Amino acid sequence: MPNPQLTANGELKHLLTIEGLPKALINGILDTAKGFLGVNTRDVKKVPLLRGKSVFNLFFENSTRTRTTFEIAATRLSADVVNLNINTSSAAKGESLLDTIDNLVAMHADMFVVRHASSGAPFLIAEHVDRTRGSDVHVINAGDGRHAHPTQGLLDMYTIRHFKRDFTELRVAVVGDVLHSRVARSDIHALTTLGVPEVRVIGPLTLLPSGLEQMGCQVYTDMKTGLKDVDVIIILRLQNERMRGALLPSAQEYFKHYGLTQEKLELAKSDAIVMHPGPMNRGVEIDSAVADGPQAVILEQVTFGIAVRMAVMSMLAEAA
Amino acid sequence: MRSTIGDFLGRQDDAAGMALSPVAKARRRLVNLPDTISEGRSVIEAGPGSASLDAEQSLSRIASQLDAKARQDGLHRTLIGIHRGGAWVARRLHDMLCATNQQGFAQRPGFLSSVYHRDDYGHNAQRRALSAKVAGTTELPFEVNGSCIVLVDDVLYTGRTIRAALNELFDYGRPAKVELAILLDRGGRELPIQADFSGGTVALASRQAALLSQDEGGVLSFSIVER
Repeated sequence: MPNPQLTANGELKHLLTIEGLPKALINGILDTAKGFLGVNTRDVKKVPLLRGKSVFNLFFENSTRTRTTFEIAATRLSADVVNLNINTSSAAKGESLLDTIDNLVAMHADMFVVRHASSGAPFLIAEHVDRTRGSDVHVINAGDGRHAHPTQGLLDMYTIRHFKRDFTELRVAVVGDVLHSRVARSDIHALTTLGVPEVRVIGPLTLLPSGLEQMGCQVYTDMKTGLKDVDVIIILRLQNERMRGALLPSAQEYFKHYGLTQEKLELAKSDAIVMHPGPMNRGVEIDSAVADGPQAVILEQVTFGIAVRMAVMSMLAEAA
Repeated sequence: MRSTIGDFLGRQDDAAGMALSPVAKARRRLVNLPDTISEGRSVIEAGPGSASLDAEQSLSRIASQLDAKARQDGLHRTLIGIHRGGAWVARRLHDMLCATNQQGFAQRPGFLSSVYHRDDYGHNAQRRALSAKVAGTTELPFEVNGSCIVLVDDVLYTGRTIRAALNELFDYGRPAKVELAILLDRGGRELPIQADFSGGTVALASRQAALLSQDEGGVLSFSIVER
């Protein structure tokens, strides 16, 4: 089956998931982002690549931060941005997802940035616009259910490449609530595609999904063995709002075993970097001393995230 | 199929009495080497018009033009090379000019990518040109406001790259003056843009492209590619 994200020429038409993206394309996105990093620090933080295009942020699930970063990325590319908070609009009145899309396409939307609580919703939209509109409307997945968060995965790869250069000699640990984490899935697909030889997943068994070994990961339930000699630590947010039933005794108990403290960090390589997709729960998955410490690159991730989203949007707009 | 013009155009005039740099000396040795073109079907005949395809000779020419202009008006000029060919030219020009006119050209050159302002973006042209690896990045480590800028590029053709480069430059400030130095003017303008300093003119068919390349020693040469 052809990859629904790519055009017949292999260009990126939609960004729905990192799974199945060719390595060269991922590297191309990271190289493109590198150029945009400079745009964000100049006097005039704007280039005209998306001038006259309309980007619609469709957030069926709340997220101020991700929506804002997409909005900043789009406006720095000179696009017009329309934010729709669907929770409080048509969906509440009973309109179907695809009817909402058809209405927005009738308003000449060029790009949709979609966040949805249901895995696969952006796929559904992409398939629908491909069928009805050909190739002139693009869809970016800004997080769907537990499935994927590809721009976060890409910005994490950008961060790792920035600090560590060569993926093929790295040991990377993804720590925490993998079960509910679309970030973890996107990261793991990206890491394995880019040739990271050792991807470790560390967490309590109740928060680890099955099938991680098939994705190319080594599974650890103990931080002491799992963090030994790693180069990169990706801490995941404990997603209390998604938890149904008693997966954990308490946040305190979780912090005691899986919270990243300075003491646990010392098990990793001395130049290991600590990443977190935000928003952080200090004192739950990460200790404040580590979050504010010299090995944390969490705010750099935010900066790189704008450039990576600009790269994705500009590449989609170019695909035809 | 490409042929290296610089290889069989051996003459060089030491413009404006400038001392030969190590690079120029290396080049002299280079051009004395036997003709390295193996294929017999070279595209361009080495006629009178194609003398301007000798990149090193053109470089000397614009260096002396710039030097003369700077001595005349006493302005301090900052070179900005447009990636990628223009960046090579700007570096070489800066070295040459500093050797003869330190006051006029002291500022190290900047570099500029025109890719974010291209008018053919999204029109099926220049695929993947946005990648920093291909397009380079803009680096202007000096105050653009109020400065006297010389934009430097290898080939002037439609003028669209220069238009885009001007837009990029003005995102960094308001220069007092902008001039244009070009190694090779191949005609075919589609915008009202002309060079202030030009290394030479040659007429090329639209199917032909003049590509600048640089060897390890920094020596520049043009080749003609059929598209």
